[in-house]
Amino acid sequence: MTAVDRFDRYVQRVPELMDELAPARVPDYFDNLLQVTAGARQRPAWPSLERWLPVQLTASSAWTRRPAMRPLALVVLTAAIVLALAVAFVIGSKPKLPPLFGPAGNGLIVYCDQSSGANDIYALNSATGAKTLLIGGASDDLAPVVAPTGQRFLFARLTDVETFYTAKLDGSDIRLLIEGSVALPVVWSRDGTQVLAVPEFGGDPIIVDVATGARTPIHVSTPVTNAAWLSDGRLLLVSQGIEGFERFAVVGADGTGEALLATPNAGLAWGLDPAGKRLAWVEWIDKSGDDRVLHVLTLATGADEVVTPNRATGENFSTPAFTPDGQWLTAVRRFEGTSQLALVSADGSGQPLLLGPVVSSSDAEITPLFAPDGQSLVVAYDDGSVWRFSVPGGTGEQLSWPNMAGGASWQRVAN
Amino acid sequence: MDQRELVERAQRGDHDAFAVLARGLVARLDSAARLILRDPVLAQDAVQEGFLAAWQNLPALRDADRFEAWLRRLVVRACINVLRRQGKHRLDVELTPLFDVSIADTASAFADRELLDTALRRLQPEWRAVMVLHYYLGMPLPEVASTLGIPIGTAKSRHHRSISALRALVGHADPSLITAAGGQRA
Repeated sequence: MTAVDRFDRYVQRVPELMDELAPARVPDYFDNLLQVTAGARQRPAWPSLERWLPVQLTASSAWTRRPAMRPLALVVLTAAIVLALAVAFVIGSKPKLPPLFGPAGNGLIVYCDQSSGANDIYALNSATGAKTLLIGGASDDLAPVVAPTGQRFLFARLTDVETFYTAKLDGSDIRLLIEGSVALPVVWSRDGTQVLAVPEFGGDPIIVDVATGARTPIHVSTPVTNAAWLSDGRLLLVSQGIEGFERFAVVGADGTGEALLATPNAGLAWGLDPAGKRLAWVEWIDKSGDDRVLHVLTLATGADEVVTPNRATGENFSTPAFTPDGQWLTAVRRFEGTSQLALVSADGSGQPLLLGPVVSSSDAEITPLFAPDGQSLVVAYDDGSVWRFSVPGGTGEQLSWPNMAGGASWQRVAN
Repeated sequence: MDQRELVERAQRGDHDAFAVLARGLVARLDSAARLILRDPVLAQDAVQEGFLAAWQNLPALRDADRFEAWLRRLVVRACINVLRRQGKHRLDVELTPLFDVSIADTASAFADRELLDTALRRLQPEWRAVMVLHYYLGMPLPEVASTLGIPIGTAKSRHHRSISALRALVGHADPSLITAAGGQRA
């Protein structure tokens, strides 16, 4: 039996060992617990108005029959409507949308605040630091993601099942998007008309029409646990591979042309560039150890490049994420028991630039959030601190912002 | 009466039905809370908080068949809330071993359990939660991520690094359980 086999056997015993560590028994306080619940009132089934908000219906199904009108009144009414539309067209203005991908203007930061015990969603003005409650109440609302168009954001509400809603950036116009049976993350299409989701326990990815809620499953060969849109309309699929590593594949939005990508021993974290043309992925050099390097794979050609060669034994980089202009990657560098954010050139040139504090832990979670204009990034550390760094210069400052490690998304607006 | 009927009765205010449901699930959830929080008093707080939330919000449960998964989620999230209120994200609490040595234990069984106990003690609570949800409550990692409200990548990362930490600990205790230098299999 090899050492790996022996350790695998040990891991298989972990559930049984946990049982032994904390044997299951009805606790002594159970009767007291029942007294507490018996003395508490149940809440009514539908406390939230948004529970009643329907998915947007088509006009024909929503209207009732109208009474007949006199011809003259009809002409006058029609003229009034046309006039009103003309005025609205001239005076009113549609919001100018940001470019489909790449750098854009900096809007609000929508984030999940976990400090109250229940997760709530706030908007933060990055220029002033002022925050506004968007989605509050007793429910757990989290994982906000602003659409690339900047007009709406989606969020998850945790109840018995995960339910996803969309809302405007002021927290109004909350609409049901997906009810149950899908897992985080849910990914917007570039034009904001669709989202991509995966089933809760893995399976075929699902495309959901934002306006109608209509679902289209994409049948693939292997259950996926994550998916993303590519620039050419195809989908990137992530599924569980052998030995616990991840497997990447691409497929058409109609389920055709499924092809496996050459990403051996890939694991844990990956990132797509803003144009959806390159995949940053982590290769585990030593399958049983911790040595990792970052690669960038160009999807159209299959060209793959290592962008972080091991400079020293034990140094490794993971959790890649592209900057909005696609020229850089952030990564977390682990070395000799420490963690630090690094900025790595996406073409592998030069040396990684190390940013901000060195955390005295090999396990620290360091979460970057890019400004849409590509000129800075905000980083949340798991000790609650928040820093901002310029890109690519790397000069940094600590901010007195709320911790956004619970999830944040930066609105893109027109320049 | 099956679980679904009990849930539906409890939704209509039948506390006796809720008590039957609770008794069937509290043991394992109490154990999970003790494994996550490593403190029986905090575990009691979390379990009570979770069950209270379940009773109060039960009328809003749309699918009675999801009661157990839903309750599990409420208790786990209560564990996280208890941790946040304590303000202890690092291992600065006096963590006591969970188990007492039984005379009947064999040396190797004790050693295996002690190793796991030590490994769990050294993990950050949020990491420990991933391990407990995955191995003790049997949740697949995507469900773990959803329950904890974290990205799937974060759940996988915490799981993988927890396993690496366990491997390092196990390897230190038994050199035959680590690979030879260079990653070659022994």
